[in-house]
Amino acid sequence: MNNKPEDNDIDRLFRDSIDNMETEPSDHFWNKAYDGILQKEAKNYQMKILRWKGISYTLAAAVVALIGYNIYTGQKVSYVEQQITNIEKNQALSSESSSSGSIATNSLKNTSLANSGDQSKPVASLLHNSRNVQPLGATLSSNASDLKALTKRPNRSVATQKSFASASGIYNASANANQPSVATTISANIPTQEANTIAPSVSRAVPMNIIYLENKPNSPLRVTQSLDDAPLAQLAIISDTTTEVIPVERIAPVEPKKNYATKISLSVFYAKSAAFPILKYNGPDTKIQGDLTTSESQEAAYCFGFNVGFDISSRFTIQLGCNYRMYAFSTDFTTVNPIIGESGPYYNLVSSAGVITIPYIPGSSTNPPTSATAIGDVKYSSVCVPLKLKWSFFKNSRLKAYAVAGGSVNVIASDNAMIYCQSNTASNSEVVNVPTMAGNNSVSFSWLVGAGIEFKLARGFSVYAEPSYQTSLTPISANTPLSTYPTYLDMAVGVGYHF
Amino acid sequence: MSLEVSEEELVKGCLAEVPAYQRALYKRYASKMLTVCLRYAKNREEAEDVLQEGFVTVFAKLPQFKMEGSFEGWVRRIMVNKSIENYRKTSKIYPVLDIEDVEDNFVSSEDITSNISAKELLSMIQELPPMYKLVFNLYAFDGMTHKEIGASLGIAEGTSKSNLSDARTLLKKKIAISMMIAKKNEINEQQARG
Repeated sequence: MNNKPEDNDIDRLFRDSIDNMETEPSDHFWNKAYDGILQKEAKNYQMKILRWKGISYTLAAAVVALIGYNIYTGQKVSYVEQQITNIEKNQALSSESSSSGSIATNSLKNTSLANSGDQSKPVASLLHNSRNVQPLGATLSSNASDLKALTKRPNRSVATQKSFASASGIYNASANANQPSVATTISANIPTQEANTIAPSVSRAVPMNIIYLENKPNSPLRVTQSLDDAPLAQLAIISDTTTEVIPVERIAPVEPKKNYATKISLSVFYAKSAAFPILKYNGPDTKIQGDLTTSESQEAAYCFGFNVGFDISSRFTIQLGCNYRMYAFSTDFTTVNPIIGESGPYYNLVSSAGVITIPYIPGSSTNPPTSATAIGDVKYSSVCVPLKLKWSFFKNSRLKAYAVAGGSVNVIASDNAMIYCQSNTASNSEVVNVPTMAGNNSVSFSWLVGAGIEFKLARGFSVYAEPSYQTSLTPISANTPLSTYPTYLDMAVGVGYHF
Repeated sequence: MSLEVSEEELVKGCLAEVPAYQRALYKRYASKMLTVCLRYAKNREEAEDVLQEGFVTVFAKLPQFKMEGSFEGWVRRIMVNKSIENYRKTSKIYPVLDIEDVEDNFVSSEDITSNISAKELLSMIQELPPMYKLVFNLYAFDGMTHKEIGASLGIAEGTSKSNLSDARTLLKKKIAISMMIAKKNEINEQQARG
């Protein structure tokens, strides 16, 4: 079947008339379409919030666990102290009915080989010990801080002497070798600085200088590197059934502890942020504020920079820093109405980062000026100088948990927007670059609070994670329909170095 | 400085799931594509439903777009396919119509366009029986051959030709009626003035 010429005419007639025709969809269509996008945005936003919540809760749980562990450890030590005090009392009672000398103690004092300073030489302590050479209790009661008597259960392997650095387990403790031992839970740190002082990580440790063993260990007791600074004479190990010397030897050379020459530290960090600008409408009508709450969605927010710290005590550090902060968001379709200026009509789009003045809308007529639809991507960045006080509420040899609070001076670095706009009476559209916004303050002030965990690596280096909350005290905008107080929830990770 | 958002930028923005670009894509193509859907649909409501489904498919299949050829053409192809799919879902019975004879002396295109608006022409297509409407749209607007139409709709090539012929006859009749009404209105107006 060949087409007749008039058939082609009718085809062309319809094609030419209709093909380029545009039909504006109904409001119902737009609502449905944007609902889909908004729902997706809302879902993404909720996922972001959930992710942040997850990180925050995990960190909070870790901090609580650390604090709890610290308290628990302290309580255990406290319990041990009580047990030993009881032992001391018993010893005191037994000493009243005894007149023997304190041979063990004297022996101990006479064999303080640790002071020799020769680290390569096996170090030994000899105590003339037998059940008859007692009472030790008299010594213990008179010089309790120097000497405690503990008998380790024989089923506990002495090969685990490494754990004596922070020994924990069930021991048979006795006031002296003649008394029956009582099973006691012991958790204690061997002194690492000097006799009868405690490791800094344990707040209430038991001074434990002599450990009585029911059986002679098969191998020499080994002192690990963690006991480098311990006076070895006070780590003398004796057996309550033999008088043989049980050597204590070092198994690793001692590295001199680094003596930090300064109290200065430097850290660099990167923080992923969630931005929640607090908006205050400067007028009786809160419509714009409500509109912005639902029409703006975060695209990117981050911060990076450095902090210089100065230790003012073992627990407190002052930090001064500098960082660059970026917040980018997109705006939803917004109808903007023309404002007649001296050089013609212009359009204002109010955003939470300031008022975006669009100098022209392509295709819009100037007489009379027509309304337009605008959407866009807005970027607001600032250079911030924070001053913070950092309090380390938990510390051990590796880990530190801290809280931080302070203020920041923020200087605006850029506030620009790329606005996709289209006249409501024309079909052509353009992206207009607005290099700066109207009415923004160049300086604003904010306060911040946060918490963090720092893990020490070797040679003064450390890594840390620090969630924090920061909000502005002064608005970033002035003489505009809205006052914006930028607020951020940051999750910073960084590397630190203590000089 | 100002710059046009190119199709490539728009596609990349949508692939990155940037809401502003997704909205811009809707804004740029919704009006044009609604006209496409209207040609195939019974009414505006149905056309908007098809359009909505079409956009969902556009976003879902966007990673498959190779940036070769016109993006608008690709979107349009999806809308046409959605319209055919919609026809298959909604039309169970093929209508049979008696086509009355229409005068062969068809009036010129200029006369028609000066008296009948594009909107009225679109309504005429919409009022066609579903199968005629499909065949006419696919042939006259979307450039498909009878062989392709037959394969696409599951009908014989001859049926496609016959349906196209009937569709044209019906449209000519509708145009003739519209022209008559327009002429009559013109005369009435002249009489009222005179």
